[in-house]
Amino acid sequence: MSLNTKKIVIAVIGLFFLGALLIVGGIESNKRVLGKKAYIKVSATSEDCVSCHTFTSPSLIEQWRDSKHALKGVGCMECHATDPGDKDAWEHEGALVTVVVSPKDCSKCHANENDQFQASHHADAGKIIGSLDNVLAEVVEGNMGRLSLNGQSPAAISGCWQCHGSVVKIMADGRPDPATWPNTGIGRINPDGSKGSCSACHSRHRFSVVVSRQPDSCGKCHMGPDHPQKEIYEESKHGIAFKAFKQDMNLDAQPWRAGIEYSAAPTCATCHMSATEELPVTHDVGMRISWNLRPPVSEKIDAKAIKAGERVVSWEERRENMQAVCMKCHAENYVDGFYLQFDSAINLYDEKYGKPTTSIIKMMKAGKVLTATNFDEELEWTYFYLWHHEGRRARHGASMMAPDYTQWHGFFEVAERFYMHFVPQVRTACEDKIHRGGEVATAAKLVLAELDSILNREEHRWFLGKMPKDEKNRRKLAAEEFEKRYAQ
Amino acid sequence: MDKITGPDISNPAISRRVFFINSLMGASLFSGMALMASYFFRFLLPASNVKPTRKLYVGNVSQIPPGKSINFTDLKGQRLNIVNTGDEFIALSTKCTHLGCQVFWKERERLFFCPCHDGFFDERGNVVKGPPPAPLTTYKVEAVGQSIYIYVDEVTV
Amino acid sequence: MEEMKALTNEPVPNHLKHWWFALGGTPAILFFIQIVTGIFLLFHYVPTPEQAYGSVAKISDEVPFGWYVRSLHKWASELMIVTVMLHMSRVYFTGAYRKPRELNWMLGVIILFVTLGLGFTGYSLIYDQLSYWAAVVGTEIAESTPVVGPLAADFIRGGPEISGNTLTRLYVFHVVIFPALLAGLVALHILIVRLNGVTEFEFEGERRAKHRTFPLFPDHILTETILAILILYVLTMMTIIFPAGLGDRADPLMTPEHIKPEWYFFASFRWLKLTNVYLGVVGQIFFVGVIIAWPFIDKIFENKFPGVELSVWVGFFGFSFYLILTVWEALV
Repeated sequence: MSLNTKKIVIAVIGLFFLGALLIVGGIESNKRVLGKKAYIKVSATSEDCVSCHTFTSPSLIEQWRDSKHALKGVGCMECHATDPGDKDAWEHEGALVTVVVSPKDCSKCHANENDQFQASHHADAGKIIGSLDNVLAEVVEGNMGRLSLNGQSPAAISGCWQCHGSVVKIMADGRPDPATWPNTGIGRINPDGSKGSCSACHSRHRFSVVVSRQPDSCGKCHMGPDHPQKEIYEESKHGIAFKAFKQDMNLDAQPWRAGIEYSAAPTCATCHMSATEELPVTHDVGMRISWNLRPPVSEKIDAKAIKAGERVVSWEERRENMQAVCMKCHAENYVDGFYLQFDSAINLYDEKYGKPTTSIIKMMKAGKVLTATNFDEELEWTYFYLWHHEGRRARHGASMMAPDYTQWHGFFEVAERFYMHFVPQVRTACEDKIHRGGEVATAAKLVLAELDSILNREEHRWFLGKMPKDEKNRRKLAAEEFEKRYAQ
Repeated sequence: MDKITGPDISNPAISRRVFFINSLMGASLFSGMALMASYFFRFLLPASNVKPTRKLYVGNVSQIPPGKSINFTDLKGQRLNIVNTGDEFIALSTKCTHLGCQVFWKERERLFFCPCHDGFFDERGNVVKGPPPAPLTTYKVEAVGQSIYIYVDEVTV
Repeated sequence: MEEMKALTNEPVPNHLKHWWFALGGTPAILFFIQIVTGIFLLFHYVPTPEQAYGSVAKISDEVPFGWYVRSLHKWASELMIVTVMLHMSRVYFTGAYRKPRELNWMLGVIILFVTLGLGFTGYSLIYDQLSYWAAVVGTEIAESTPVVGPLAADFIRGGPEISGNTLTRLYVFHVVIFPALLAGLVALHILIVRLNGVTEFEFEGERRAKHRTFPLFPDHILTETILAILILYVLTMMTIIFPAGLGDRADPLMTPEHIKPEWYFFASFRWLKLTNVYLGVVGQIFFVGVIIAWPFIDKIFENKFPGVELSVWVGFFGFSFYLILTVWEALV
């Protein structure tokens, strides 16, 4: 290569270099635009969203800016973008977006959590079609005809579904059916087929883990007369400790392990989901529960699966998982003693109230002493209250150390319901049918006989005046002593 | 040592062609190096655009009628006041530049008044009367359509 | 002026017209770039565990052209290691390490390792997850060296475990000790080249050339200028297309699932995974020893098997082995 050629080469490459430097200068001046927040990287596609929504929904943008997502460069389109074929795709200001961000979308980055969640009962919460509760919402309380919204019962839309989750329907114009959206029920069925809603607990758009660790998050749904877990927790010593030492709870720590990052008190998440030194976090909330206290008669959590021939984690192993968490604060003997107490309370409810009432109702339905229509007779409401409300309260109270819920909101009301309402109503219904005669009369007679045999059991016979004499005397003496001390 | 080849360095007359090529090469190299040097120089200077700011939505234009003002707080919790002078919007910190008391807007006099030592500022924040040594700190305000925006100091993570 | 020209105008052997002989100058140019960009970065970098990451982020996001200077520094370091290795291969396969140039070869190997050391210490200064955990792994490996291991590890770490002391030490190595050492070694290396004279080669078809050399100035200088401006252009394009990134902040409590060192350590990393602790470290020390002593080993080969050019075969297999291990680690 001659000298001149070399010089020309230098000149040419030098010009290319100059060009590259000009590009560098351009990139630099772009970075200096006013208003750009340092450290927050907004992807180019999300820029448009942010610039408009800063005016139309400023709080939303501010919440997102405070989130870990923003710090890591997860902006709008990273979650809201869809493909053209998707059912819920909607053309908005030149971009194809979806309003419904499902667990499947979240699983792009949070695959583990989604896998655990999909396997859990939370994800199935939306599958309530056919349940008695569903009948209540759609028929008894509500209406799916002239008083409906797009054919759905408003009682369900604003009530049941907001916790359990709706089945999100997309209408012909690509927008969601207002009967089914907005909805962040934890068992929502999304247009892309996935189950659930992550924002049920991880509220948007800040998605702060602090919110999801708050007992109040769980308490949005796990509260009320039929499953007052929130109130039970707040009554219990666990809840009291949480309220007293909330500032020591280190709620935004990651990882967040009982006994390491915090030890002041357990929350719902602590026992049912969160990590310890040995246990990893799980979004499958059933993995540490041994009892299923939902039905009229309690059963172990793996009973249904075993009957269906499936292989699942046994209730014993799940109880061990839970006990591993308990023992971060409690001694082994303490934990074992508690579980004995808990199991015997469940047993008491099942044997004294759950099983007897359920078998009676079954007999009455089979023998047509009760009509086929649910909730058209008072006895059916009585039975429903007994197991669905009071019976559950007693059981849940025993499960999470809330004495008042176990007793006054629980067993006391179960007993009152049973003796003062259920038993008389069964008798009235049967006697009425016996009067009318026929086949039903025979069935009714059998029911009364069954009721009689139940009431003659050791635990019920006091009601028939058949308490053993020596026990009667003992109680009489104790009552007299008590009166001397307290009565007027 | 062998004989050195190359351009005859004893001959001072350089051909036009060589001169032109030399100039081209020199210009190219010089401009590239100079530009890069300027970048490196700016690297050492503190950022001339000062601190990053964030644009916040204040409210609708109708919320601040002419002559009136509203209170606002920036991201650091510092209080400020946004006034509609009739011609424009002005945003001023309400921290008195004397000893830090909060000033308040007196509508009839169209003045900011500091009750601690009787300091007065006009609607632009300039000192009118009293001990304050400097005008109130201003913030950049923008009215776009029906909306009012303010630029406040960004709080970094 | 004339005297200067005469003094510096050392004739350059003709074979240097072949561009792949310019591979020695390239790392020197890159070293110079590293010194300049490094000094500029020093104005903004803070070497404490609390502030290191933030200062690097500040350079990348806030300082004018900070991202450019930092990315230049990052890419120049990668390129420097590549070109040092390429230069070493060139020297090896052309036998230019043979007598009387054995000393220069050994100096060159040390230069290679100082360069690798600069790469390792430099990356640790960022104090992101990879920095921290690569430093942990690195010191653990050092510790497992027989006899001197624990002492060496304590020395690097400034204590029994990674701490603020470690960052300070790595900083001193990266900013003062290694650069000064490298500058001295490179100066010595070039000096010895001039003293020994550049190894002369002849290529087919060139024997007819009238002169066996060509002038340093202006011919070879222009060549090096082309190289330099080309390097600056390529580096700048790299900074535009692949600006230096920043991983998550270092978290001593959370080990990331995949820790990988920089690519030039992949082969070593893979080797350690394949062998037991002892063979892994001792094996590598042995390998390094062979490389350093190669001129002498080669002489023994030449005497025993003249004309077989065993060194080429050994080099081929050795280099391939390094490549295979590197690619293997990269893919897994």
